[in-house]
Amino acid sequence: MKTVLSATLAGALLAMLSPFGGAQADDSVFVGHLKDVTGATGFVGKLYGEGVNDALVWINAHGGIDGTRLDFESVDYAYEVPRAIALYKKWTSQNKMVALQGWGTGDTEALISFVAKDKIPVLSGSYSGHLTDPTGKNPKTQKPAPYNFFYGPSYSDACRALVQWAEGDWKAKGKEGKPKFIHAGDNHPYPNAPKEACADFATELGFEVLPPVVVSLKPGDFKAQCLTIKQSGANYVYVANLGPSVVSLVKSCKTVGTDAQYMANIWGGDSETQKTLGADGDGYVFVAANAFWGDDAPGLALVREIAGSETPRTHHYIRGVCSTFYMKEAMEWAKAHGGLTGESIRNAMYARKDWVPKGLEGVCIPSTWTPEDHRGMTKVFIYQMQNGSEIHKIAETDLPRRDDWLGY
Amino acid sequence: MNGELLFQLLLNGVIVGTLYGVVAMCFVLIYKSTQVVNFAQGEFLLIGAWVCFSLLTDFQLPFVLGFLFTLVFMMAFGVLLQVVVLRPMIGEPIISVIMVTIGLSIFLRALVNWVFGQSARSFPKIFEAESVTIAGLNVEPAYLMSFAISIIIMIGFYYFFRYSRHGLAMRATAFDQQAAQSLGISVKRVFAMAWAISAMVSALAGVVMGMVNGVSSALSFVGIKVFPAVILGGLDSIIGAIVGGLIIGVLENGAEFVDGQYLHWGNMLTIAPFWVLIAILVIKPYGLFGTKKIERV
Repeated sequence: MKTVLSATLAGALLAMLSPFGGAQADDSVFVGHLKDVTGATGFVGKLYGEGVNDALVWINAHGGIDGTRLDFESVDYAYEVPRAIALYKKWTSQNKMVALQGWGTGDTEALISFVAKDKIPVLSGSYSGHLTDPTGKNPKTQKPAPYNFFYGPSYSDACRALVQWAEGDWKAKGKEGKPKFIHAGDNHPYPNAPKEACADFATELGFEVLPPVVVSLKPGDFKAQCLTIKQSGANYVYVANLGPSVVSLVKSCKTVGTDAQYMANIWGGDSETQKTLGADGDGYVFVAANAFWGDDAPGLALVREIAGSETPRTHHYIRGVCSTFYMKEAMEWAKAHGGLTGESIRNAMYARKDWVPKGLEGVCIPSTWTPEDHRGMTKVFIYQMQNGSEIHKIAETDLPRRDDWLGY
Repeated sequence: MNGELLFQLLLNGVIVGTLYGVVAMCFVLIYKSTQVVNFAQGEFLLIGAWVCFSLLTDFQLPFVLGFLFTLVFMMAFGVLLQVVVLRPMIGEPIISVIMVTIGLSIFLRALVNWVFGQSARSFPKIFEAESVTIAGLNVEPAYLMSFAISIIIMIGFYYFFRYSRHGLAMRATAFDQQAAQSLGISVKRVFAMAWAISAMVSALAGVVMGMVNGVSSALSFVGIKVFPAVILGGLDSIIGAIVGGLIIGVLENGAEFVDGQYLHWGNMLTIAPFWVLIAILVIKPYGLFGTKKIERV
């Protein structure tokens, strides 16, 4: 008995110490998941994070990656870049991470060089245009990002689509002269990401671009900024923040009588925000990149199964599911073509064109990533809040894949 | 120069600054009697706002009743907090007590998120009018309500500390706990009263801000935002808190004017109060109205 026990203990010890021990021994791979629940973007971070988390749980409950279990850790890093970097280092050194579900722009951009060196593909919740040039082909690209991916239009492309929509809206309303465009957001990597690119395109379309107005991500009294916007005569306000900050801005601007069309990025509009805004949100326009909970799409059955209830979820949750399923299918392809390593998972992202994960038809928008271009999609859905409680799709824009927009 | 815009911004600064002043007073009230800086002040605002919201929406109480119940609840909450968490800390080093309030802040914020959730919520409509126009500036009625109540509170505080027995007991306790106790003042009761009043007044600010901007966990950041006003006025001065709040409110709005019209640097509204704070503290380390401590060495 003593001999058997000793042998078992020795075996376990050897397994733990061997380079292929621990997580690898029981055929599992580690996936890190950074989420923000308690930080500045927790309002939407929680919703998106739940989508990622539920999808990872579902994948494991349904056989993992062709039999390989996903050993994952979801950590609330409170939107603090140093904490994200510390977690990344821990996961790469201790857990032998093969892929990362990331979150914010600040941390994702800070990790570009790390993930490129370590060959860890990241599917982030940040859609910064700076993450879309894998080779540094465009001189405007700050840093090549060969291992960065995200599901959705880049912030820059989404803003360009909104500007394009605004141009049509201006003409449809029969207005004359140059429409005035203004960027309203915090001085943070996330709100700042599309600032220059969007202003360039607005200028190109004949808008008068006004100096940006800084509005904190933390809600407060924004009447001062709203008075500035009002006095500037802005017709179209690009809302670069999210959640309670957006609510404060719209309410403050309504109070001071700012007469402008608000157009928000992908995180700046959802049913939760509308619940808070009520009728004050009527006319508010925002971007989305997937079907909504109540839509008629075959893939929503799987989303409901993953969510485990019929309680409606926001489009952020659904996007979290899409992002995780793209990673899942890339991992399946990688496993069949050379093994579950970071590099092969990255290569798997290039294996298909106009790709929708199996089971999510009609939910996720067909996406294509190439070794030259990490803009998964250039299609942008534009939605509008109406009648206090309704959200309707009002436009669908296909942007050109311009080389000078890559990584910018 | 756009004089009309400047005037409107300065007027907005006074209105918002008054509310800052009220929150700053809550800091001062606790510091004045216990020598403790309460870093959980923002969470008091948050709890007050959510409790009032819950009474109005879940229990369908009329606003006046809901608001009064909120004040009573917060008073009890302040006393409970002092008795359970802070009373055992009496006599301990001040830094330990401050650390407790920081821990309390994190705990309360997490608790509120757990109970009420992350999402922002809108107060039911309280006032008929969407806004009231004063000299060309549209102001939310909630701010006017808070402005009026704040003035009453400020006057009340002034008289409370200057002429009432409890107020004098608080000042005596803050000056020298041992001496106050030897003269028959119940230090425990004084501390409990300070926390109760502070929590109650914070709730007023929380409800107002919740009515204007919606209620969400982010409301707790107001506590930090108001901190420059507290330091500027002087940590132990009620008048200082009011003046500090007004200065910060006006400064923010003035900075927004300069930045929005001329500089276009961005962030000036956030940064300007801190620049002025540093400048004033260099000249007057105890703040504009703070007590200057002179020790024989």
